[in-house]
Order: sequence, then structure tokens, then C-alpha cells
Amino acid sequence: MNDENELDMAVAAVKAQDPKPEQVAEAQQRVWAKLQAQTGAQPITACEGFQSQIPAFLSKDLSPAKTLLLEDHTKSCVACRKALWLARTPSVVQPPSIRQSPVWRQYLAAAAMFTVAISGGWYIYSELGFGGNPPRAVLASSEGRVYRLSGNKLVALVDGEELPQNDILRTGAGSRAMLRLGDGTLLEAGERSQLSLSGSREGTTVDLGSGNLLVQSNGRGGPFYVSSNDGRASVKGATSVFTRGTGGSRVAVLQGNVQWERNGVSSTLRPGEQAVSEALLDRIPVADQVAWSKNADQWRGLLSGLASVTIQGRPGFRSGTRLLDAVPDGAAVYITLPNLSGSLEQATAIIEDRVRKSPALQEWMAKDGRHLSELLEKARQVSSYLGEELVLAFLPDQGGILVAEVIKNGLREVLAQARIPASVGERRAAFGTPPLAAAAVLGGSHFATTPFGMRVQQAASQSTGIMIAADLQRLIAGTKRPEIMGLANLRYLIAGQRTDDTESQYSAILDFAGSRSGVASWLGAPSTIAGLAYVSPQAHVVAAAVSKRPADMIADLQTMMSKLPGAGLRLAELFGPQIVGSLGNEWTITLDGAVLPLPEWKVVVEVSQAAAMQSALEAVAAQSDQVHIDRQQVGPLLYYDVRLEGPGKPFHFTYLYTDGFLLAGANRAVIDRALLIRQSGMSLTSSSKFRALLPRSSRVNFSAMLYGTAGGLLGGGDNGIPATLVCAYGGDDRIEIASNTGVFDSVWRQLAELSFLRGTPGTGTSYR
Amino acid sequence: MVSSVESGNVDTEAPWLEGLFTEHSERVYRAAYRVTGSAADAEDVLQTVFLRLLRQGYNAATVDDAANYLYRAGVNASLDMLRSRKAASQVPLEDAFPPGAEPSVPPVPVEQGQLRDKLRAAVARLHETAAAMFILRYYEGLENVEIARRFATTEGVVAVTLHRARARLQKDLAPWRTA
Repeated sequence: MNDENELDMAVAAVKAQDPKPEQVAEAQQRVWAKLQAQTGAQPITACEGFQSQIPAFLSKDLSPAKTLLLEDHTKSCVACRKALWLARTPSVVQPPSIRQSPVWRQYLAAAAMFTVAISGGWYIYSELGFGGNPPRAVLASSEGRVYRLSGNKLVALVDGEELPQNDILRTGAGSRAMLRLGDGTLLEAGERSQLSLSGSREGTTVDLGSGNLLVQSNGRGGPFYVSSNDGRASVKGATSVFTRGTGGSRVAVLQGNVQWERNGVSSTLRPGEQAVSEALLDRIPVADQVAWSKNADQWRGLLSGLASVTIQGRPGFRSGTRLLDAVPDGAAVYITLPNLSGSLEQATAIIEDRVRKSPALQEWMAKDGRHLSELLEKARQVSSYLGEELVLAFLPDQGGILVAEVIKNGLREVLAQARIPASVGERRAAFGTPPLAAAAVLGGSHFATTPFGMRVQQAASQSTGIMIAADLQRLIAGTKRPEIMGLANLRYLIAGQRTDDTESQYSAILDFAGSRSGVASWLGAPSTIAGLAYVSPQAHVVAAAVSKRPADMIADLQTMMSKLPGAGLRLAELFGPQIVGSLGNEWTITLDGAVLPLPEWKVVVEVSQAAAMQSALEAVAAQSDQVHIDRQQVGPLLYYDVRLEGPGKPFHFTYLYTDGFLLAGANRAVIDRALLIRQSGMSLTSSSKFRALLPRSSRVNFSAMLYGTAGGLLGGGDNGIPATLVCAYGGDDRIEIASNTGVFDSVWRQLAELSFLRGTPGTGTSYR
Repeated sequence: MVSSVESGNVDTEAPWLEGLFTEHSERVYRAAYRVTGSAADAEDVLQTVFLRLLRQGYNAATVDDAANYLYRAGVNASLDMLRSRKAASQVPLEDAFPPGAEPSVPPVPVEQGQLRDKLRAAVARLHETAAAMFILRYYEGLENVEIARRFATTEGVVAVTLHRARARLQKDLAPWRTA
């Protein structure tokens, strides 16, 4: 009996083992009773039940399932946690009796003890975080720009100043902050990070909104947690590092143990171990996760002494390409394709399946589709003689070749019959420019040892589908434009596809020889783009990016323009130094709301000096007859309504300043809705649909993104056309663009699901 | 079950919970039972899933798609329970069957019940998304299009995932055959 049948039988056996209805009913009754107890109707019973299990838990006689439940319950139930502690702690030994002293001395001693108790209690209450208040947090040291967000106001925070409870600490690009808590805990925040502190009877919680955080807890005070939307970690007595971004969270332990809880499942992380909140987020070496810290060397030293540092990274993909020695040394373009015969066979099978289900397609196939079938069949016949990999290589001004391994005899005869010229050897076949093709069949080139060849080999080892590599330095050598735009050190382009168990991902990487410069340097390093918190999950189009500071970008533009003849324009003056100097690093533009009759757009731009920005804008309006700004206070919000007059109809929009951003939109309703989205936390980046589109990566953030749902734009609703997300990541010497939603995939599905292919007019498939 | 909920105390602190429990608890229990093969574990999973929901509080997004949320939470909790058992081997499949070292001994005959348990353990060793998709498709009988909708992905991805999951499970079960 073959393997497939065994698996089917095993599955059938699982399905056949269904519980009886009365068994299900009894289980439901018991669970419902326990749930009622949890909601307060019968609390004693629930805790009595758990506490009765403590002896079995301590002696490790409790089942794994019940152990999980008990551990889960004691995290949130103080009474049961205390009962567990008492059960673990030996009895306190009674002190020996003491001699009676004179009465006045007893009163004095009692008064002294009372004073000490009150003072000590107050100290514990206010400094160490018991009783529902977090310990005092003071900015011990900082670099760069550190702010606190209090209500709606962004206020610079200086060393020695306290961070009030629930105020948000925010660090700027290239900045860092060290907070010291009253209990001695140290919190180190990296650049573009955001966190706040709060206290409750359960303990102190650091809410990490985004960025990097390193916590050194000395174990004093009450329970201490680091929390985010992705999970919660109990970090008391441990040194741990957290990274939180749009793509999820990563937590790693340097010293001590951390209890990490997510979706009701708890796990213990030990020194050197790391957990991620999303399956699509790769683990990385813990030493890399702390690289941003001021004391990175100290942490690396600590990690190097650990025996059990594990990196459960993603398994590798295919082992690389086997035809490098067939490629001419001077190749400037290298393309590798997967086995066409397999792909063609799948494509043929898919087409036949669709045709079977669609009367309209059957009719089309009978008339015009036969030619396509014949072509596919011919291509499949030739490709069936070739190996898994096809390689295309091009040399500037010399032509190109296609080369593949030959896996069975008879190819010469098939090619002769089809009149296709080729060089065919024992192991390889090559098509194209004859001298190059003949050399490819013989092999032995040194392409693999060239810098481009080595880069190709590295890229091929991480790719499982089509891969395109281009030596851009050679292809655009001699042209002036790259130098003017600061792209003179642009080196390679590598574009490809990789597939693992669950998805395909498409990426393109631009490599630079050295650090990015000119226009290429405008893309910032990956970071949380806070403006996306104002975008709803129903947005139609979103573009967002972290960039260089606008003042620096204008300086780059000025440098580029100085290389052009006759360029004397001073851009900094044109754009307004006050406006440019007030702008921050990130911006978000979106179409989010109604499309017709007027598109409801909004723009969210980081602004570090709102007052200076506003004063500059009003100065522009004062000097122009065509720009009018009216301000109106509505409750706590100060709106600025703008009217731009020109040759056509006046253009209206509204903006206000909030949380360190300028939020502008088509009208006040758009602004108000954006604020509600931000407050609710139910934004685009928190939606499961969006997160499912994120490319699998070791990075929790991206530098830029472009998101769109064409279906929403066309019909004002979801008509079945899936969303597309493309993310860009700016490295020091590279820019990577990645997407899970391949162009081919998207186009094929749209074609396949158009109503006429289904034979039923007006219907489409809803994917979400 | 219904009689217990109807006659029991109506919880005023979380009134939405009763409706969700009435509607979905049976399905969650049955799914957990299929995944774990144990009535006790299935009951614990049911309790864990709804306790967690209770702790999170009312969430419109969750309630809107409660079936999907609770079902997936139940499947995930069941798989976690299987993985936490010592019987589940932590050896990756690649190490269990190195390339070129396919087992050459004849398969060991086992009872159907044992094969069923080995399948459960093998599913727990799959990538968590692949395991969840496999359970939805082959234990619960959902079509690929529905699975794609629940995971917010494409049919193609679901098909590839299931194909690879089957290949791995076939390899894992290869040392045994039903007696």
C-alpha cells in the first residue's frame, strides 16, 4: 500500500474518532461553569478548584494541559498566586519570646516602628511601584532628540526630567534615551522608539509602541512587564531586549528568564533565546538585535559566553545555480528560470481545469484556443529534455545565450525536426549567439570568480523561482545621468522570487558600491511609520516612507543642480527654510474613504516644530492673494481651513497638528475620522489582512510602502481584486523592494476570475 | 449543552460571551478533539480559548468573525498542547531523514489507532500555518477557497502549502503501515 494511501487512511481514522454527543455536552457544561466562575458569579469555586491542584502542580503530577491552565490563571489571580507562593515557601520560624521592657520604652519603640513602617511603605508605594503606581521614571541620559507626548503636545524632555505616568516617550532619528526607574530598573530606548509607563495592582507595565527597548530589571519592586499589541513579557529580574514594528515583535533574553505570553500561550525564554510574534518574522542572532544599544559590546560579550544561543532561522532555499561555468566571463545580465516543462505542465493543467468548468471557455478553446494549446505543447516537448534550470546570459554588444542541462537523449533530433538552431553537447545545450553557445556547452568559464558572478551565486542560493541579475555599472557606463543624480556607485540589480512552505515572495535589490548617496540616499532606514496609525483598514491606496530630513534632501538637489549648466536657483530659499527645517523624516499619503464625488485623501507628515511651521505657512498666506488660511477652535482641536484660489475652482482642504504630526485632509470629517482611527488602534497596519501581505523578513519595519486595492478604487467596495503591498527597505549599501503579491499572480487571478470566464455575467470571486 | 447555558446564571459582566459559547463551543471542542485525540485535552483547550476571549473583553472585530477566530484559536491551542508533550519529537524532519538516507527497512505494521496518533504527532511538527491549513482541509473538509479566505491568502498558496504538508506527512508516516 503506498504512502499516499497510508496518509489518507490515517486522516480517515482521525475523522472517524469523533466524540459522542453526550461527551461533548458534558464538557461544555463543565467549561461553562468554570467560565461563569471567572466572570464573578461564583469566583470562590473557580479559585478553589485551581488551588486544589497546587499540590499536584508542585509535585509535577498535574497533566500538561491542566498545568498550562493553572500557570495561566495564577498570572492574573492574586489570591491563587499567593496560595502558590505559600505552598512553595517553608513555614516561618516563630521568634523566641522577649523580656518585658518598661512601658514608656514600649510606646517609644511602637512609635518608631510605626514611623518607619509608614515611611517605608510610602517609599515602596511611590518609588518601587507597588500599590498601583509605577516607579518614578527619570531621563538619566540621552542623545539627540527625546520628547514626551503629553495629551496632544510634544514637549522636549531633558536629562534629569521625570517622565510622568502614561506620557509617551518618543525618540527621534539617530537618538536614544536611558530612563532610570525608582526601583533601579534601566530602560534604554533606541532611535524612533515610543513607550509609556503605567501601573496597576498587577504591577508596572512598559507599553512599547514601536522601536527598540532594552530592559535591565534588578528584581526589586513589584511585577514588571513589557507589553505591546503582540504580547506581554514578564521581565522582573531579567535583562531583555524588545523590538517592535509594523511586522511584529521580537523579544530576546540576555540575563535571567522572561515569561512571554501571546494569544493565551505562555513560554519561558532563557538567556540567548528569542521569540517572535509573527510566523513570517524571521529570528535573527540576538547579538544583532542588541546592536543598536550603547552597550552593545557588553551584551555581545555576555552572549558569547552562553552555550545555548540558538537561532531558529528560516531554512535555506535551493542550493544555487549549476551553470555558472557555462556563462561567458563578461556577462552583464544573468537570468535563471525554473524548469519550464513543469511550469508549462501546471499551466496546461490549470487551463484544462478552468475550461472544463466554464462553457464560455470551452467555446473559446474550440475556436481560437487551439493555437495556444499547440504552442504550449511544442514548448513542453523541447523543455522536457532540459534540466530544472534554464539560464539566460547577455553580454553588452555581443549578444546572449540560453543554456541548460540535457537530461535525456534525443534532443538533437527534436530540435532538428523543429528547425531550432542550437549547440548540443553530452551534458548541456545552448541556444543563441553561436560562438557563445558553443563555449557554453564546453563550460569552464571564470564567470563565477568575477565580482558579479559571486553576487549572482549568493543571490541564487536564496531564490527558488525566477531570478534576474544585472551588472548596472557596466550596462549604464558612460551615461551622465547616474552621476548627476548621485547614482554613480550603483552596482547591481538582483530581482527574484523565493518560495517556502507557505508563500512566494518577490524581491528586487539594488546594490551600491559603498554607502548610498544622492537620490538613492533619500530612503531612510527601516522604522515604524507612526502616520500609518491614522489610516483605516479600508484605505484604497497608501504610500508611506521614512526619508532623509527634507533639509538634507534639498541640499542634495542643490548639489545635483549645480552640475547642470546655468543652474543658479537656490532651492532652500524657494522651499522656505522654516518650513523645511520643521519637517521630520516620515510622511504618509492615502486615499481613505469615499472616492467619488470628491476623493477623501489625507496626508500625515512628521513635524518637529509645529509653531514654527504654522508661522511660516501663515507668512506665505499673508504674502499671497491666492492662499487663505482660517483657523477655528472646536473643543480641544484647532483646525486650519485652507482655500487655494487659482484659474479654476478653489481648492479646499483642512489640517491640524497632533502628536508631532501635521494631519491634512480633504475636509474636517476626514481629519476627525483619522483621529478616531488613531485612538481606536484599529488602523491599517493592525489589520490581519494587511499583516498577511507583509513580506517575510528579518526586519520588523520597512522604509517605505505602497499599498493598494484596485477593487476599492474601481467599485468603491471589495469586488474581489486582491490588495497589493510592496515594501522597500533601505540598507547602508542597498535598497530592497519586496512583495508577497507578485504581478503575475495578481494578473493571472484577475484574468481567471473575470465574470465571462465563469460563464456567469456580473459575478466575481470575493477573496476576503 | 444548551440546557446548562439556558438555566445557568446569565453573566451580566460579559453577556456577549454566552452567545459566542452557545454558537461555537461545540465546534471548537470537536476540532480540539480531532487534533489532540484526547477528551481531557479538548476540554482544556475549550476552556483556554474562551478564558482568553473573556480576558480580552468584547472586541467587535473578533465577534464579527468569531467562527474563524475561535476555531483557529482552538486549533492553535490544540497544536501547542501536542507540541508540549514529550512524545512529540523535536527532531526536524530533515535530520530524521537525511538526503539519500531513506529508510530501507520494511515499514512496521501498526494498528490503525497507532497510525492515527502518529499522524497527530506529525501534524504537530509541521510549520504552524501548514498544520492549521492541513487540519482545516483534511479534518474539517473545508475547500481551498474557504481556507484562503480565512488566512487572507490565495488559493495557490493554500494548494502549495497542502501539497508540501502532505509530502512531509507521507515521509513521516513511511516507517509504519496499517496492519
